Amino acid sequence: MEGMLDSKHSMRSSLPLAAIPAASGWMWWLPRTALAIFLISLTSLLWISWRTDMEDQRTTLISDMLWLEQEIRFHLTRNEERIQQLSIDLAHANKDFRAFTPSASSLLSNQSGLRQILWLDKSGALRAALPTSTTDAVAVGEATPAIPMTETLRLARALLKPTYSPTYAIVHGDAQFEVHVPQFSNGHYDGMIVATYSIRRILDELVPWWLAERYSISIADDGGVLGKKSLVTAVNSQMSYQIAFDPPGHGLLLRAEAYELKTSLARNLLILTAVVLAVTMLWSLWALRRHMQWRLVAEQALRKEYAFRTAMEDSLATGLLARDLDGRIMYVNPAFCRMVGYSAAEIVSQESPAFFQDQTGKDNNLEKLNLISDTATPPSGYETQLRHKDGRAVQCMLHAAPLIDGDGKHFGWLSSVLDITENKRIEEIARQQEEKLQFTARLVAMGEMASSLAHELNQPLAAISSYSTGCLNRIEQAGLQQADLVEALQKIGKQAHRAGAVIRRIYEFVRRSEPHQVSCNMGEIISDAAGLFDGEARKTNVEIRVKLAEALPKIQGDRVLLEQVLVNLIKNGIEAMQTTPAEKRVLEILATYSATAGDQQLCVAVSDCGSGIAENDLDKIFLPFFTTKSEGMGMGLNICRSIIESHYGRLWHEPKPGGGSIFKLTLPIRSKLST
Amino acid sequence: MNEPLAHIVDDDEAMRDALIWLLRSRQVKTATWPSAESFLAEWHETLSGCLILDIRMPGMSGLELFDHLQARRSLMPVIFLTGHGDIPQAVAALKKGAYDFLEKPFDDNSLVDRVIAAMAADLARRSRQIQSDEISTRMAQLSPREYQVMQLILAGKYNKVIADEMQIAMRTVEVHRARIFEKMGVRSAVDLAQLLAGIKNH
Repeated sequence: MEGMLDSKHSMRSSLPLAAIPAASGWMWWLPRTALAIFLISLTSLLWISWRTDMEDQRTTLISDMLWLEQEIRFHLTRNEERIQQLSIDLAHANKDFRAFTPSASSLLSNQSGLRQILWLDKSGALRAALPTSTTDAVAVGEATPAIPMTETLRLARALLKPTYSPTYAIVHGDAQFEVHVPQFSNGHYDGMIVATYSIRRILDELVPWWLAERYSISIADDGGVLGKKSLVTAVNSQMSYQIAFDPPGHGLLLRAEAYELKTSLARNLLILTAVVLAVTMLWSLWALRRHMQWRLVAEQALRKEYAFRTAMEDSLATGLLARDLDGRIMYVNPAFCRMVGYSAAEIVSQESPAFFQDQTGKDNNLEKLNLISDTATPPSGYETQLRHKDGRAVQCMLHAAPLIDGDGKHFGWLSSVLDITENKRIEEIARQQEEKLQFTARLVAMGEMASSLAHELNQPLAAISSYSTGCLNRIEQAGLQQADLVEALQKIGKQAHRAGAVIRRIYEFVRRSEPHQVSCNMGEIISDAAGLFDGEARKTNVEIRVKLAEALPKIQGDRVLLEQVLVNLIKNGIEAMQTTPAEKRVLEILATYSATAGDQQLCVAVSDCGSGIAENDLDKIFLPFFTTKSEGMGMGLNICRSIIESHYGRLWHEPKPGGGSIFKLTLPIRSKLST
Repeated sequence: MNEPLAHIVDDDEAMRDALIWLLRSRQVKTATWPSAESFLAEWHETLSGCLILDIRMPGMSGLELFDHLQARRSLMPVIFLTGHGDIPQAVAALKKGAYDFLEKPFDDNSLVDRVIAAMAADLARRSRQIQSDEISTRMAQLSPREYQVMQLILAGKYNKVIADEMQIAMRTVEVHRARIFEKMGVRSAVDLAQLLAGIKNH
């Protein structure tokens, strides 16, 4: 499995899919030629074998026929001798009839092919015959000869030696010929023994059965077949042999016709096997060719698919990393190589490559990677830091999935690695921009605040200046009463204090980032803030009602900032009631204290009876730069919330039943200075 | 007509008090108003003197009040008191006809000087107003013919020329002239020219 992947990798690196040489050409004509030669040789072999067979058979046939002819002739000769012996025996017995029958009978019975033995006397009259009457020995045909044939008898008498007669047909489809053996008595012709051979009997008795099984043996003359011996009826053979059949002479032919070549089963099986094998080979060659073509198509598709996948892998921005179960890296894609700056060769097969060490070199991310691989990958991935070859850190997101081979066996892990450095950087920039914006917002808020405070500061200064100028004017005119002067100076002093307070507030506001946490009484803060609006409230016919719960605990916080929050909320409330009927203009400030288990908090609600806040604007009122006022900057509530949150409290808005708004803030009460 | 007063409109009580103290030290009589709205509610044509107006006030601002007053054809001189950031607004107000503006903190006596000057100007304007009202009344008594003749007299033409131009008798011109002088309350053509020039210049 490891090797598999290794080979996959090496395959990949050595461009495995270079074009395969065209499969045509010699690869195809060679087997074709071989096949043709094979078929030709096979055919030739079969033909030659057949020819040899035929030759053999023919030779066998000829030798068999020669043997048969010789055998028959020998038989005839032997019969001749036995007949001569019989004639000699009969002569010795003084031509006693009784001596004839046993001897002739033994001759007839001895598979001799003889039908009948006749004993003629000198004149040719029948002395004896065995069998005595032969109903079937009737000559048929045109030239019906006498039996025994006088021609032959005469010839034998003349020659004084055994003589054979021509063959002639007799009844029952048989044919016969005779042999005339002259009988001598004391050196003189004394009679004739005629033995008749039946062709059928010769065939039956002299041709052995094994020969008859192989051939159809027949005896023929010019007129046609005289007799035939065959154990098989249907004979159809081109192979035949005939041989002159002497000494009977007179044109007798012994003919043998071989039966249908009785080829051996083994040979037939062999041939069949060879043919079947040839066909199988042809079929398999065709199948192979088909398979090759199919493979070629499949390979083409595979190559295409592979090219596609390679392109896909190469074009992926996501790094891919395959590891075996021992944590050795088996494969990385180009995106991963780009990510860490090492080449694939440098990475593969390393157990713990350098880039898995984080910057300090102490922490090995690979171990962590294995750890998550061994358990389960969190669906959200796993964030880690790799080290680029040039040393910089690469923030990345890892997802791991098990690698399962074709047999369902788990053999490694595939991790996708997503470079999120850029995202992180953008996040960081966004965060910085947010901070910058906050800072700007604060500057803007400070600017607004400063402008407002400058105006406030101008008021007491201008007043002081006016008082003092008024005093001077009076002194110049000598019209100054001491009491007036005292009053004016007191007023000057008061205004100077007022200016001082304003300056302190500016200072506190600028130092907002480091709230000055002291223990302060919320009731006092509320009263002070409300007090600042006494004049304004009178002017605008707003009644400010302050309701403080008894024994409000002190809280830790920045008095000035908290007062600023209240001032802001009160100001908003008063402004919100500009269009409210004068008698309904009531601004209520309610301070309560609540304590639940382990949680003590102070709640202040500033409610007005104004127009309330449009539903659309509800979620925006605390955003910076949101305002419904033509002259506002939209920073008030945003700053208020920041201040309250810096005191670990909350500030929110609730609509007031019957119209108007309630701004509520809670501040936690901590028993001791926690700073 | 009401007594000329320096009307102080400022939301800051201390500021109002200090201005009263200052103006009284120069014998300027004052009236104070805690807001633009309260002043506008009390305003009527006969209020005279000048208006010392704080630009930045809750509710109706000084500039808004000024616009309202202009809409009501008030001719009372207005001196704006501005904070640091309000100069452009003050300049715009000046272009619209405000008398002056002073940036806080200001030189108090120069403020008083400006107030006195403004009150004097208001007084002068009012007396001129009275005069021109009188002349208008007199002129209204002239017949169209007499008005015609008067225009020619003011053009510096002799009676004879006037008679020729109007194609009337010399004697008739003289009668018209006598009537015009009588109705306008002058004794000579020079007096008449001066009287009418006063109105025109204004």
